[in-house]
Amino acid sequence: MVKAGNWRTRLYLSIMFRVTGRAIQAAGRRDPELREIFAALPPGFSFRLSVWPDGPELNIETDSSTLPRYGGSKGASDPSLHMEITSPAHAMALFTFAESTTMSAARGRLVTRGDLSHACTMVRVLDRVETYLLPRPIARRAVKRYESPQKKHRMRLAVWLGIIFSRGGSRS
Amino acid sequence: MTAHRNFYRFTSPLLTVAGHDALEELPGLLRSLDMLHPLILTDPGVRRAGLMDMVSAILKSQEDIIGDTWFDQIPPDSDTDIIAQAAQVYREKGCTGLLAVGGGSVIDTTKGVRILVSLGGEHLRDYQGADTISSQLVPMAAVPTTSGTGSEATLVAVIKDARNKRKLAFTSPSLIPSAAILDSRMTLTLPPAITAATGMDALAHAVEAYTGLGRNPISDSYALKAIELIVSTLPEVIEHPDNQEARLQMAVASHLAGSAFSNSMVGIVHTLGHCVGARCGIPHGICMSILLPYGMTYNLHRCRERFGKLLQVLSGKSVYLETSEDKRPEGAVAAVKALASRLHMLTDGAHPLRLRDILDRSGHPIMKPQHIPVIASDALGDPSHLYNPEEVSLDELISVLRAAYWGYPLDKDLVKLGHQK
Repeated sequence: MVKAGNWRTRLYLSIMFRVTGRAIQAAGRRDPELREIFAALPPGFSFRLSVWPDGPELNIETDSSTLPRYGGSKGASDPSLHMEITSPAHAMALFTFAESTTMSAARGRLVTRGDLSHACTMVRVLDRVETYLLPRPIARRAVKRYESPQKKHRMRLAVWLGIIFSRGGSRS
Repeated sequence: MTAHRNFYRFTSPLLTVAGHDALEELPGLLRSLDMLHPLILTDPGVRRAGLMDMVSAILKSQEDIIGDTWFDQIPPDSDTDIIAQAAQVYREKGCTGLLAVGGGSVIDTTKGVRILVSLGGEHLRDYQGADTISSQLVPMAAVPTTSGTGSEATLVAVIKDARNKRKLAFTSPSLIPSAAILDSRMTLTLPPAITAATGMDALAHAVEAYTGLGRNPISDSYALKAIELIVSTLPEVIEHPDNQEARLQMAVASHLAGSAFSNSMVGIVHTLGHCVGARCGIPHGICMSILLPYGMTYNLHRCRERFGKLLQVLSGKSVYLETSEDKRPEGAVAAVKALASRLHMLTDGAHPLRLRDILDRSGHPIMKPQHIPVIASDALGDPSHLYNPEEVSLDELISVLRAAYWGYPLDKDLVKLGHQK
């Protein structure tokens, strides 16, 4: 077991944040449902997920064609929406999929600055991306209701290729 | 990785004074909060009902308290412009705290003023979000004049942005008022239809708090006591509006339900209710009353044990014992429907049972069938659905709204079943 706050926690979370950020970029450009979700966000929308106090962070911005772009740990100085996980232990619970994003929010583990309706949207995005990233038994723990997306295997391959070969977040 | 599961949090830092003459405690309470010059916020309806005369009379006799600084132009659908005006009055008059006398709109508006005058700035939207406000705010006391919203006990404020008409949501323990006064005299003048709607709002808070994802043993105990009080008292208040004891019990029930949902949050009933209200201007309590049994049915498979236990509180021990264990959850839903039907009868039909029965002044339904997909789409952006025990999708929300609109039972086969326990 990885204990909160040590170097292994930081390393694990850094990797997971990078993987998740790149996965959001890859899936958000290919999955029609995610494209629709991002298109409904305001122009120039920016999102940051971080861990208090100085944990890793991921930044997503929508570009001019409303597609998501992963910016690593560099993002807008004042993002449209900033969700901050209140401790490394809670981040570990979230990113080891012991706790779903909604349970994390319900238990007060997330501080959210910005429009809460956009926070709902990003939780939906994270849930959707997790169904691509994770094998079904683990994804079922990470989301409130597991629904297998259409063309899941093709999309999963595309997302993982996007994670491996994407240059998103290379600035971090 | 189980350590993170071993705690929960329950926040209720407020001082509550409840009783038939609790308002008499107001001066002492203002002194204890160092609020010798409060800005008193209310709405024209409360003034017309003569409730402010009572507050004025009590404060007038106190030499050390300046009790004549008012802001009494809060509309039912308050917004950020109103808040900015009230904040300006607060600053100009050099007030030292806020006193809200009114229903949910007045109390939420006062919470908005409290943020602005405490943290500075002109734009309330800069502070929107969950748990973003951690500073200590100026003291605030609340005197609710309805028994429903429970806003005097909650960490939530929902305020319309005057610029784009969107609702801004704020949640933070700092937003819980410093004190609340529950005085039975404050709700005596409420007409039966409003008493019924606001009472069902409190019931919806309690039921959703009992099944919400953020529930814990403390919020459970508040929710169950609130349900018990509402079921035993609400019809009595409608039948005998002058029954002061029953009025007080309803005020306490609403307060308990507010505190419960402030901690465990609410779910699909409020998700849809907020959006029906915003789109069609239907009063929140009526939406809650109509949607509650449908929301319970939607979540039935996720919380069968909890709904089963609710039957005892809703219908009494004998009904609970006479009902087989597997039928108790459905029995709880039926008990809520029966309560709404009874209120419908007691108010001579003024308390509606279907969304299509809510009529405008010319007798036409306010909500039209074509509103349903738009409202369902809005609902996906309402934060409360995150805390619902079952996931929601657009199609499912449409199904629930259609059933509640036409008044037919919700087809459970249309609800996709989630997997998580």
